[in-house]
Amino acid sequence: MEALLLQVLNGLDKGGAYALIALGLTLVFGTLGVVNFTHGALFMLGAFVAVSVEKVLTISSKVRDESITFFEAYKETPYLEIWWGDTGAAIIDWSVPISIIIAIPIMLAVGIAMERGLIKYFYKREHADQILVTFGLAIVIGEIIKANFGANAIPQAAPEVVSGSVDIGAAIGLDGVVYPWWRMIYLAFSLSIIGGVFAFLHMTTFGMVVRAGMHDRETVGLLGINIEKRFTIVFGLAAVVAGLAGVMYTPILPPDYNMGMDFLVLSFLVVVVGGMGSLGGAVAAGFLLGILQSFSSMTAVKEIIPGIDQVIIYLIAVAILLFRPRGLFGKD
Amino acid sequence: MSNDSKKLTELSRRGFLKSTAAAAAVGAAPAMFVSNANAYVNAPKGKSVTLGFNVPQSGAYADEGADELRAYKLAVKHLNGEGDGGLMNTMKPMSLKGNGILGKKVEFATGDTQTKSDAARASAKRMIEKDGAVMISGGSSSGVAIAVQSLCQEAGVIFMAGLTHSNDTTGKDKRKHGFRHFFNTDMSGSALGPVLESEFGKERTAYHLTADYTWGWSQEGSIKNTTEGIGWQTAKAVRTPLGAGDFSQYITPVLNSGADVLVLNHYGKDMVNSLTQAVQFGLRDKNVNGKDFQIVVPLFSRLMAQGAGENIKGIYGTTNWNWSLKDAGSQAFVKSFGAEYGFPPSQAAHTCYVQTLLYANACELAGTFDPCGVIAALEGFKFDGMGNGPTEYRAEDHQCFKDVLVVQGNDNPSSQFDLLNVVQEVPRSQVEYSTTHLGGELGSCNNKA
Amino acid sequence: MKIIELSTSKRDLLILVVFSVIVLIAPFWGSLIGAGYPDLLQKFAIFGLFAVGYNILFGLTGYLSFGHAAFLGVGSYVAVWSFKLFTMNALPAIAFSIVFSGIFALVIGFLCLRRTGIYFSILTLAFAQMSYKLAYSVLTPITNGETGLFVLKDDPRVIDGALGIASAENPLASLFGITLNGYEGFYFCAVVLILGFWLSMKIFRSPFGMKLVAIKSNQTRMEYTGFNHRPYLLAAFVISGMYAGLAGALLAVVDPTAGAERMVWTASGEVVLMTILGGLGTMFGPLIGAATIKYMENIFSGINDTLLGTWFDFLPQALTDLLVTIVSPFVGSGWHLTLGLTFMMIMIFLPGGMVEGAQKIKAKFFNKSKTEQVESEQLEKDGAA
Repeated sequence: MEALLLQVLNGLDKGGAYALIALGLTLVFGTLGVVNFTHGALFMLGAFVAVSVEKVLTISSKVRDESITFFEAYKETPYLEIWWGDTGAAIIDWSVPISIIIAIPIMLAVGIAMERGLIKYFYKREHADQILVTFGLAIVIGEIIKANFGANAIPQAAPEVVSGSVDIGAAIGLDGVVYPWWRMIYLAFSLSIIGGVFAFLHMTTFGMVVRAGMHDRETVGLLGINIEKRFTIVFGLAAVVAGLAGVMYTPILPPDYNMGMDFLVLSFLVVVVGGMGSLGGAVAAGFLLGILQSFSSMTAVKEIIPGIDQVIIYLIAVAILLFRPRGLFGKD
Repeated sequence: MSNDSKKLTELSRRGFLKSTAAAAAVGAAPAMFVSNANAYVNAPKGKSVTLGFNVPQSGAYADEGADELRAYKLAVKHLNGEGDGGLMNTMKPMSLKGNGILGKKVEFATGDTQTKSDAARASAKRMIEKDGAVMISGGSSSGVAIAVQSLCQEAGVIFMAGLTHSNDTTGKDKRKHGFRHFFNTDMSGSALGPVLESEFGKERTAYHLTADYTWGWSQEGSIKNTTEGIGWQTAKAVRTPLGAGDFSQYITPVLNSGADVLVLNHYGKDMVNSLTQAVQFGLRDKNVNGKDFQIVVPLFSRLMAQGAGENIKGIYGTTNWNWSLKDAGSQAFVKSFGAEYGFPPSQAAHTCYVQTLLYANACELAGTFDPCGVIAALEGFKFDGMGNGPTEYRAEDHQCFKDVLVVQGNDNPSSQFDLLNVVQEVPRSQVEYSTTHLGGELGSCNNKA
Repeated sequence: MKIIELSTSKRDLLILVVFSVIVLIAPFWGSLIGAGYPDLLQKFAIFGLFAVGYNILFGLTGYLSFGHAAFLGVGSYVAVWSFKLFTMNALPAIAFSIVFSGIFALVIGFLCLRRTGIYFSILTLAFAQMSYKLAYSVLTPITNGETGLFVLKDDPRVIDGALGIASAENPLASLFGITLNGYEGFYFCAVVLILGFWLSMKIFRSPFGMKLVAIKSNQTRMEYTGFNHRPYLLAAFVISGMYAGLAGALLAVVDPTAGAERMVWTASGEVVLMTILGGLGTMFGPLIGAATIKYMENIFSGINDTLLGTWFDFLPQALTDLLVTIVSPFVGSGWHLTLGLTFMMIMIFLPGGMVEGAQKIKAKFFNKSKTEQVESEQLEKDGAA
């Protein structure tokens, strides 16, 4: 019982992350018709905004360790702590939440620059061309990060108060149902971002035009509405969502330059299982894949079907695509 | 040369004549077809000899690979008599003269393994076929090491393994042309056992999370053997997909399993992620059966400790070498590496540097680069002053036997490099095993040209 | 029904002869660009063949498969098992590989071709990833997992045993006594490549190929005419899968080993990139793309600062240092950066891939008055693409 409940929690948590990462991808495909292989790199860039913010906040005064003579080793104390004591330490402690605020304008700028500088020339090109050019860009972004931050993972800590875990089970009379605070925050965060994007698309005029554009681009253009400009903003929005997903994920997964590629395939699976261009589908598919992946990892299941946890998400994708031609919520 | 391989050579020569004829027929007979009259592959002709350094330069182990490459460059410098000489000041017995190897200046070629067997074999082949390397060294994973080792056997050059920890490299898949200085999972197990017993007691229940590939299984087996030997129970051993990223679905079952020790048989990125997440799930704050819950990471490296950050503090594991050692050899190496690059070398750098010197020394001893001679010189070679105490290259399996370090994540580091505390230097006698224990067949040396 | 016309027009014959000559003298021109050693030449031929086969599916029908590496992997495993169980002779290994990868492609193609567009791509990707993950872990008894499958001295090899051929210490694939490593291996692959290229040319020119192009240009219209396109698509899928299996078998022939990583999604992605980079739907494009990517992977990655220094040695010291500093981020461990930039540049400036670049250069330097003709060739190509 406890074990099952924990796996449900794991599934929801994973699902939230998958949905959030896939959201921007499906948004871009739905509106712009672009297969964006840079999406994983945008997720990774967000994570490295968090890394950079932490690096800036922890610029340190260095005291040479005199016992080491062969090279220079320092004991580092961040200036923020020296100047402002506990307040400074608290600011550093909260570097990941602070990064969220900083990541929004940065990722928006990156997204808009990418769309204006590159992607817009590829709207009319074939998907294959889009894949090659965005894949090339993803490699370039990755290599730039590698050149500056190395290939090793760089740990990021969640704020002290939420770095531990909480005994949820105690409230409902179950033993040992313990879950990390940060993962629950991530779930709540992804739900609110997803909700926000939905609200934006359904409750604002801007969103209405974009949705109309997704449906029939030419007619909207004929009505004299500048759909291009709005699509630029949509691309920026997608970059922001991907970047925020990356920032928030850093305490769970220490980021490295290759993490974008690791999530690329996964996010495409989520998008396609949900139905290309369907926001609701992506969210549903994210949770579906997350929960099934968690359950398939249980030893009881693995004993019946060895290796099932290795292939479950692909298996689900195959099953759904064979029985639902356009994914869960796809339109024909 | 064995009869078989002689026959093969003749056959291939006939084939080569045919294909040359074919090439000539279409109007081109490139110069590189001129038959090689040397006694062995890539015998150095001019005033220099080329070594091939095959390390991961892209992918998850790129930083480790970069450090290995730094060590190789340093070793080449020292062999050529430049710089402060490094371990050539402390190694004994030593036949190196600081004038290259056998009077030939040492040059090197580099390649990117991408931590993939195919890519690693391709770049090793380039160094053998194009750059004329007589020896290949490097690697950051056992799969790659085994793949390149068997290639070197086929090609007739020496392979000096870099970082590879699986038993198989000098066990099931050992080769006459392959040599490993690094330790293996069995040694990790034997070294950790007594420390775990004295720190955590005899009555413990362990839960394994194991990376689902050969190295992971090898380590799981070795650690299980040891812990069950000291009376521990094994609650469960769960296999996790390589590169799983999020391990939560494997960690939550540990919470209520009744186990009080978690063994993470992961390396690199997997280890950084699973450890970070296990700590987040509050495992280390737990109390099971009246005992504090513990996490053990049998194979450690400083670069990985960096990636895991705070979470590594107090965690036990083993390592091949650490820069904080105080013996003359280690000090000499840290000194010259530190002076060159401004930071301390990793264990990967150390093993690669030592391997290069050992190879060069064996050439001097043998008086030739002929692999058969070099192999004979390396087999059973006993040396000291290289940072691991008295060491022997065992002739039967080409594995170095030496002391193993049990380390613990440092609670209170005095600098950004001071991440590991050496808890114990476990003597060689405790980690040694019989020559037949791991099986495998060395085969014979192959010096066909 | 005669699907493939077997007569060869004069022009095609000329192309084939020129192509064969270029391939067979590869050791000569390869050595001019630092690629004149057996392993890389073998890779040029093998991955060229892989891309030529892939182009039959992707180039002609427009169906973007992200899972063809799985067929290559199957081909390799089957070939190595043939070496282990039967004989070191390359021909049975190749035959088995083509058959097995063909069957595998038939099953996967039958399922995946029920969908089109990105849905088809993701289906193929999912199947290939499943194959990769299983080969890496659960199927270890067959695939030897991470370590990969090797040919050993004491493998059974029943046919060799019956013929009294002794097992060598390090068994190598052979063709009736000729061992197929080194340059012998390259010439073997080169001959197979020429045959494969010839076959693909036949397919391009055949009514079957025309039908595939018609499917690409307008599937719906084809359906209205009562034409059932599924068998044609499936045939193209299986043929390209067999090409992949053949390429996998050749990898095992020149180097008797097979590993799971040959099946990972990035390996499938690589052949897609090769095809687009060179020129999708053109005869030579995929070959050029394959050679370019393999060249960067093997040569650019091996250039280090020391080597750069010797290249620029003739210049004054300060200039040498400057050049080394400028160039070194793009070579050695930075070779991926160059690869990524190349993809972007080609797609931005030469939408038709490198073949289009070659045509432009040809038009500019060799025959300005024939620009119109180039344009008409371009149109022809577009028709075929």
